[in-house]
Amino acid sequence: MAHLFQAWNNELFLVIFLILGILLPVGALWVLGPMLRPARPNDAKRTTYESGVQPFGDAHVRYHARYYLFALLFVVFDVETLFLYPWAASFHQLGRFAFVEMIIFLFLLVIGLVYAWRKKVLEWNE
Amino acid sequence: MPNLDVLHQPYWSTMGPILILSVTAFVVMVLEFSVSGRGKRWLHGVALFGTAAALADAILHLYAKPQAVLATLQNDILANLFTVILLCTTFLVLLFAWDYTQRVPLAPEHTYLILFAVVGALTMVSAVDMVALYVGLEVLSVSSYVLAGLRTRKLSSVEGGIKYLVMGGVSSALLLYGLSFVYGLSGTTNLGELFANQTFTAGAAIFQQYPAITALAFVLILAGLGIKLSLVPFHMWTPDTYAGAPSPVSAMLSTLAKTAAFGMLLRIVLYVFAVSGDNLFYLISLLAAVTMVVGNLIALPQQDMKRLLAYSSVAQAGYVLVPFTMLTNATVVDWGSLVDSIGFYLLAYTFMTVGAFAIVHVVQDARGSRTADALTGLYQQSPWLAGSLTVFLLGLAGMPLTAGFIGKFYIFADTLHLHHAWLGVLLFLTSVVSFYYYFGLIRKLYQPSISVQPARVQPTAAMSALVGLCVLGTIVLGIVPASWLHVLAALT
Amino acid sequence: MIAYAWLVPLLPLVAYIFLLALGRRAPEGVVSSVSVALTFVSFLLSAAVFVAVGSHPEAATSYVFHWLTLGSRSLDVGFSVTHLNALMLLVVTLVSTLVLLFSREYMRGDERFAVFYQYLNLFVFSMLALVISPNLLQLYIFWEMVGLCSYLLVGFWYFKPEAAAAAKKSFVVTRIGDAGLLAGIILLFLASGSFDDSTIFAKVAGHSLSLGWISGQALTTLAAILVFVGAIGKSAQFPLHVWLPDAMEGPTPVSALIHAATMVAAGVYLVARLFPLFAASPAALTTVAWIGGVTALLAALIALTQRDIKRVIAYSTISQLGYMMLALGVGAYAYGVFHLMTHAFFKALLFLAAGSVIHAVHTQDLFEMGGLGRRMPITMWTFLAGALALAGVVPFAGFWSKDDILNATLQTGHPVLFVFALVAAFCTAFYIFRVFFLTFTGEPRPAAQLQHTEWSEAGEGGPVMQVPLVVLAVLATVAGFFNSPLNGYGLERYLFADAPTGAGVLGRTFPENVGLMAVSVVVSLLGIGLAAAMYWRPVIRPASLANGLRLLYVVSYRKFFLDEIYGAAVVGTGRFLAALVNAVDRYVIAVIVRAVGRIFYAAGLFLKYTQTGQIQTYGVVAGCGLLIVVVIAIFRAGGVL
Repeated sequence: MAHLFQAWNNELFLVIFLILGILLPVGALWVLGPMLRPARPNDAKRTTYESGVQPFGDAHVRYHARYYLFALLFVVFDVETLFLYPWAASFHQLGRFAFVEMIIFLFLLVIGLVYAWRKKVLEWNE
Repeated sequence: MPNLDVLHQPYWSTMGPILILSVTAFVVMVLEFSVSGRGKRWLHGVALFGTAAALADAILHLYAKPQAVLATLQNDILANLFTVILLCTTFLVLLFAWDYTQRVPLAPEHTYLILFAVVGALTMVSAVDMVALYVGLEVLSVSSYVLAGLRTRKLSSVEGGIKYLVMGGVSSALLLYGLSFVYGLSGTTNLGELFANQTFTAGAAIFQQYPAITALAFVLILAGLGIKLSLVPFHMWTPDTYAGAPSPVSAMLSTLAKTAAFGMLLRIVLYVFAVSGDNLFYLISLLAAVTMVVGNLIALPQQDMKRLLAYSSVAQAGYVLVPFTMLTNATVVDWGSLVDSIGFYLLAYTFMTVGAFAIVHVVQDARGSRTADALTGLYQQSPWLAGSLTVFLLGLAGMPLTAGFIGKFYIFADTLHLHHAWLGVLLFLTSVVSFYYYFGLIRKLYQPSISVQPARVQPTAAMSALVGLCVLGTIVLGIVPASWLHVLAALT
Repeated sequence: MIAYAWLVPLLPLVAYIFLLALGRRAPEGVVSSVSVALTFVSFLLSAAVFVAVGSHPEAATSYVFHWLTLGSRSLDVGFSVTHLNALMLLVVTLVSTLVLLFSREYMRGDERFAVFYQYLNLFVFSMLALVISPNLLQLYIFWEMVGLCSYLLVGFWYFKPEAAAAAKKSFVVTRIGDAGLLAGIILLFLASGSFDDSTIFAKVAGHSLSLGWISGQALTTLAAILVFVGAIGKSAQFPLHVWLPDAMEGPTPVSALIHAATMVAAGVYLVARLFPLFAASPAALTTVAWIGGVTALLAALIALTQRDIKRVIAYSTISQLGYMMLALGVGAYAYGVFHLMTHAFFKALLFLAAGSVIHAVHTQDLFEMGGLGRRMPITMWTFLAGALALAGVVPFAGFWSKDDILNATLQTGHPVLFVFALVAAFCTAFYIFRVFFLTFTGEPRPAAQLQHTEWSEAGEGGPVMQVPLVVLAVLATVAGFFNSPLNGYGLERYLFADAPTGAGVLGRTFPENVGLMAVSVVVSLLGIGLAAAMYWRPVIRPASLANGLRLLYVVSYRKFFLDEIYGAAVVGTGRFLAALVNAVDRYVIAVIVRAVGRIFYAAGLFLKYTQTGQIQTYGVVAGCGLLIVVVIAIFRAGGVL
């Protein structure tokens, strides 16, 4: 039994975690939740949560394509920060090579920003 | 055999062509958005200049001692060989794009998108790390998706772009899945290390211990690259995308992207599977056979010339795949000759295909139609164009005195020599089938036009240069194959 | 210098490409000037090569580079310069230059002037490349190319049905020979493992040619005969000579260049070049000698009665080529080549002069000419030089070479062939002077349909036409001295200098026989005398002689009925075969072919309809394909499949 257990060790853990992974959300949201919480709905409670703002319109609206460009730019600079922070934190250890690399990276991003600017991506009007 | 003596020091000259092209791409990009109007005419010139510089650099370092940058990019024989082919292709494609913009309005972004795609392609053929390989593939792919759909006002272009995007996404996913199995089995993403482990230690045992997973990895990688190479049954996006995309992009997809994917496949096959997975190579022969047969058959009833060329490129990919099936460990002494066959065919194919796409485009532009009938009477009107197209089609069909013949001949000789005669025979038979549709086009060229005098076909200077280079390449490789074979033989 | 011999064929190729680039509407002056200039430079280079080879016999060699690998055997391309090749280069470039110059006026105003020059340049390139091919495969490629050029040029006036038919006939008939040549080359390749002349000769000499089913002497003989079949076709030897007279439908400069001086001599050149192979097989040599002898006589007899000036000269060409073959067949290598050279000069001259006449009077019928000597003195005198050379009157070129051949035939013990050759010599003298007298002397006999104004304007062409005539006339007069006792048989010494195994293999030279010289001159003079008696100062009325010898006349006039016999043979057996083939073709092959075609096409259509345009379909197909491959792979890996 012992060596059988050992042989199946990995797979057993996998199976257990798989089962737990499925059971937890299902149990919490659909089984335990309804059992424990009081159910007293009203109109205000049923509205969509928009951080306190009055929701308007349908959730299924079409976004203007320009939002994607903004999102893209946002992601670009997000990633930039992601790289910059660890680099800045260990700047002394990394040395000159990393500095040059980061400058190149920033330079390329600047080119991207200037490109977006020149292509009038940052202007909203038609 | 590639020298796997990986030096863990940054030798930047190794990356010469990639660096030159990257810088060129950014310069072109900055130029593009900082100048306006007529200044944009110079973009192609700058791009061509950068490509020529990169090509010169690649040729200068053709026989340089193989070195690796951070064990990731390596300038070994495979890399050098494919770099030269890719840069020649780029040059031709850029010339084509230059001509194209003088006829059809096309977003000027295409110049540096092409260059970025080439940077990706160069990475694909010179990377020895699976992550870098994948990054290269994605750089090439993402640029290509945009390029394919660049004519945003034209529905078929957008449609082709989307189809390519979807299938390309599937391709990346499959490939990545396959590569992750390899990583899982071997514990390394570095191909050089992987190869060394298999050769010198008991590492091979891993692959033999898990034959099913190895097979799965192999199939997934093959399918992933198969989509890029448009091997049957992963080929169906090809005609739609090629027909919709701007013609230079179609030419690029059928040559540059395929060459890069073949280079990557060659690298993976040689480093990962050739040593201990050679019981899997029948799968490649299976795909090659199906591709040759289906690609040629489906081209038969085709009237649209761009779709015809798309199917022809499917079939041609099948021919190139044939030597891959023989790259097994059992034939290790013949690897050199097989790589020669592949390298020769790819360069020959590039000349013929880019040339054919170019002339089809010019004719379409002048006569407003892309059906085979649009070729009618071209000989009377522009004998040079007609003659050049004849050369390209004869080459694709594999007629003697063209590069296509020598290329097929070498592949055929390999199959006989390495006991895959059935593939050789199939190659021959399917080539015979292909004669039917290639000659159909040629016949049209020389038929006098019975209707009203069709619009005059006017090639630009860039087009003349492009067609001239392609004809020269097709004929020189066909008559003096030694010129290129010597380079190949010296490398391998 | 020898290392640059490749420039000789290259220049005409450059001219060809240049003319191609200029297009078909290029100005005539530019087209012809460029062609003549480049070919002339080629000629100068050939002369330099000729001299260089003569002064450094050891430098005469092949320059080859590797082209393709066929398994363990490699194919080379390159060029090779031997004494024979150098001589041929010289002759071909010289005649080509003159003919290109002549055509400038002869073809003036032709709608396809530029195309004509393109073809001619392509021909000159192919012919020169044929000559300096280092191996038989390359030779065969250019052999076919000169055939193709000949086809294009014979059919140059394709709107004339006769020209189109003649082009087709010449192509088809020579193809028969070419098939033999190809078979011979392949046989030699299989037996020796090489296309290279010297390798083959070495194996022949070492008796080491062998194949599974045939070896030794039989193999040598078979290969030699097969190669000779190619030569028969190209050099219009009996029985494949029928195409050459018809080929006269082409423009006259073409007849002069291709069908007299160069291409038809390629057959002789081939036999000369492969002489060590022939020499190793007495049977093959005897065949060559007899074919040559019979052709010489037969063609000379036919030429006696023809009415068309070009046809007479064409039969004369066949006859003279027969002489060359005869010389080679009896082992007199140097004499065959010598006659090839002299013949190239005087026959090109005769054709060009005939061209000049045709240019003036617009007819080719001898009996519609006459009295042209007064209007065209230069043409007449140059034609006379050519005629005397052809007839073999001392000291004109033909005398020396023809006498050498007669001498060799007699001394090697071929009395029958000697008689053939002597009779042919008599006929030659007769028919060429018949042409001469009918054309240039007597009263004009314009045909009724010819306009008199046109006739009265008949006169010399411009200097462009006269210069080639004069140059060739000088050559026809003096070329014989290149191999005469007067210069110690210079050509023989030249040709034998690089004989791989000495003159013993390449053939022999024979002591002079002054008596025989006298006999041959007398025979020639008799022929000329008879022609004069019949057509110049009519002592004998030709008609009465023709009536007296009715049968012989008709046989000769109808060309020994060979065309009819071939026609009947082809038609008779042809009908049966045609019916058979037709039946097989219609009911078996066509059905199969159509079915196969339909199946492929249908398969293509089916596959085309799977191309729905829906990316979902594409995904499903790819996915299913992937699944199938995965299943196969996994099962194979698990050892199930």
